[in-house]
Amino acid sequence: MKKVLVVIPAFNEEGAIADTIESVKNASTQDKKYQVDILVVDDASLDGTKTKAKEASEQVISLPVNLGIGGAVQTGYKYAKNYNYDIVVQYDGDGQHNANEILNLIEVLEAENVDIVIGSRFIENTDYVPPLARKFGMIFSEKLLYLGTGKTVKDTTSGFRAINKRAINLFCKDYPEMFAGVIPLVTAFRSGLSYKEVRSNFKHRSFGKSSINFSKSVFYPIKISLAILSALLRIRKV
Amino acid sequence: MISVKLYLLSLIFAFIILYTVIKLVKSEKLSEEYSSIWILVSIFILLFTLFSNYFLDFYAFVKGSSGSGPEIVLFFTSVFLLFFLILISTKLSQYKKNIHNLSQELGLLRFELEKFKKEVNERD
Repeated sequence: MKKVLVVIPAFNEEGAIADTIESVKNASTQDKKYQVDILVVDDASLDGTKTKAKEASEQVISLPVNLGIGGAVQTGYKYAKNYNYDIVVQYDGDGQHNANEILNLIEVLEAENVDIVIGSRFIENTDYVPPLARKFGMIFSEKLLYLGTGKTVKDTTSGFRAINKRAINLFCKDYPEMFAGVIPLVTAFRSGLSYKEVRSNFKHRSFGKSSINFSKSVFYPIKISLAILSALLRIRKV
Repeated sequence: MISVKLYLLSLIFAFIILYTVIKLVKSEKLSEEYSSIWILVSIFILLFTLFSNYFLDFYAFVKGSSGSGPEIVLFFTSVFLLFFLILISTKLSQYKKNIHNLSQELGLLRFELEKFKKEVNERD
């Protein structure tokens, strides 16, 4: 039986984390084909996220300092590598993903024999309509990713992904703190990893604030261009 | 030629830097790595003051016309500071990476420890 780890990074998500964990638990117990474990990585939250998470799950890692979503997710990958997990599913702690789709991502990863499966809001019509500034940022990073790697990913900022051992090993070595959506894809594609996007329905955030705001989105194109450029310049790890 | 006033001023300046660096190294506030750079800088300023004529000639040769003392100091200082800033940035990046990895390691170890403690308690 293959071992799957669902990594839930959380920063100041006290209102949503318990429900998120609960829904992932419920979805994973239905499945008998895989051994699914849940790991919450609390990224030094300032609110009661850690306590709420520990009430809901035994598997909670709390980081001593805030590393950003990239650092939190990578901690999960390192854990998965230490315990020899076959597949890791990254699942945002704010409850905007649908836990019932986790199995779908894993099955596509296995059936299509790819290294990364991305839960995407945009490959087919889903209910998700992004705010204008965010939409612009998303299209911008999609085009930049295409320019840099020649690959098209419709949903570069999706935090809902399933990856196999090959990708786990790569991401343990190289995973960014900033732009943890698109930069890992640059790293992965440069190392020859394959991917597939599958349709995914995102719910609107039930609690908390997104990490993207207007003043950030003004500098976003410049910052992400430079970040992608430096990711392209880096020496390949695999 | 630079004026006697400027000559004395830069001599004093060089010694002040040298003195400060040595004091900082003694009190272990500055690591050897950086102290060596600053010792070199103060020695450079000292040499620059003592042999300012040669520097002036060299600079005039490069520039094509003669430059003034302050102009040369400004030029060399800017070049030095630029390289020093790059050095500092690389050091900062290295430290950030170290802190990043250490924090993750600490989080993972703390988790293991709690799990282990719980297991021991249950066994007892």
